[in-house]
Amino acid sequence: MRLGDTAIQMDWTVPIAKSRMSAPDSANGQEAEARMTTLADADDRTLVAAFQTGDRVAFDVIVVRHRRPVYQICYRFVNNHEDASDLAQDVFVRAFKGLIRFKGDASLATWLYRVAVNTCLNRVAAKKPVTTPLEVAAQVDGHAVSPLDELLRHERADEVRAAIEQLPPKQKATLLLRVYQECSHEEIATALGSSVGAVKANFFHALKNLKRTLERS
Amino acid sequence: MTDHLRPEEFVDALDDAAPAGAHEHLAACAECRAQFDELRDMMRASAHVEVPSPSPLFWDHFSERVRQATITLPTRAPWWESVWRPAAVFAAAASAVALVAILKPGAVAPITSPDPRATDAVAMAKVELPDDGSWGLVVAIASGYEYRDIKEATEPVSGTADAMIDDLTPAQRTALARLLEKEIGDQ
Repeated sequence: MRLGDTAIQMDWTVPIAKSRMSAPDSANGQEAEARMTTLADADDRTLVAAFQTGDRVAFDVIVVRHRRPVYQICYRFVNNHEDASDLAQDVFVRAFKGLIRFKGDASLATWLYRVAVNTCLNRVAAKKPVTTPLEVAAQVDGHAVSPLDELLRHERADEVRAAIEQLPPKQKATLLLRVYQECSHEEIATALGSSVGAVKANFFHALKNLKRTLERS
Repeated sequence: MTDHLRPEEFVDALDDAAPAGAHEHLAACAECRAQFDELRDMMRASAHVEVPSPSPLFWDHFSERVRQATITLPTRAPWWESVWRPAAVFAAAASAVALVAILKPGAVAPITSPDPRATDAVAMAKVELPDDGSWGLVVAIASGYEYRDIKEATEPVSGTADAMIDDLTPAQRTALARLLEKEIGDQ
């Protein structure tokens, strides 16, 4: 699976036009909806090119296409929905400002991940990370009938989540991009602005530190 | 076995991308194999940590929030942004050309240490200084001599000191020795 594929497949199930429903001007809104429909099948490169010529709707399509993985990266950094949605919004605002200079050296997804990781690292550096309360985590799958092994699995997942939260920022970013976004080491190196060797070393030490933390807990 | 796998090799092995030698080592080295199993377990455990899915309505709200946050932002870079790069390149090129012109041989007199043979007394006479009379006299005298003449007149001749000591009386020599001892002792 390649970068962002999951997000694209999952998010295209949401009708794009819905996100434009609250457009202030109905004529402009209809025009934008029509434009979004036109651009819906366009690849990222086409969308970026359209945006760089001043097409705002192209950016709306980019947001729809990439909002889920960007949100997930943010969530894994802060472990709560409120901060994650604020961070994800911040990521797209930064992307809007920076996309005009995007040269296409990396894929748009990798570039967005880089923006996301940098935004999260800045936030984490400025603010103590919030730990997800156990009861909130339990609510997530509360509707499901949980057998004992499922409960144990969730408990274990909570422990691992807490251990991931304690990782140094670079190791954490590397682990998140590798395990959850399934980025290649080269893509992570591009996203984090480091070498492939450094990414592999960070990933190795992230797993070692996880093991150490879980043994202590 | 001491030549264990390096961190990058472990990661390559986790990706099943390690060279054959690494796999052979893992098969033979219990220590590395145990470490590899730990890393693989941690990777699997991490993969089970899921992000709770937000409400389906969240995504539309989110897109709208982003749209509202960016609605006042320009989609094009400011005009100066397209100008400053070429301007900077031009300025750098102009600076380089100016530097080359300045450093070109002949553009500026080279700064060299004065050769005592070249700086003869006549050249010294061309130095303009406030004339208080005495300097004029020095210049007038020196301008009549060549560098070689002055060198011969002022340079100590080898053996001169020995000849002078030979000419001294025993009492003078004793007095000189006492003076030298005093000078050396003071230092």
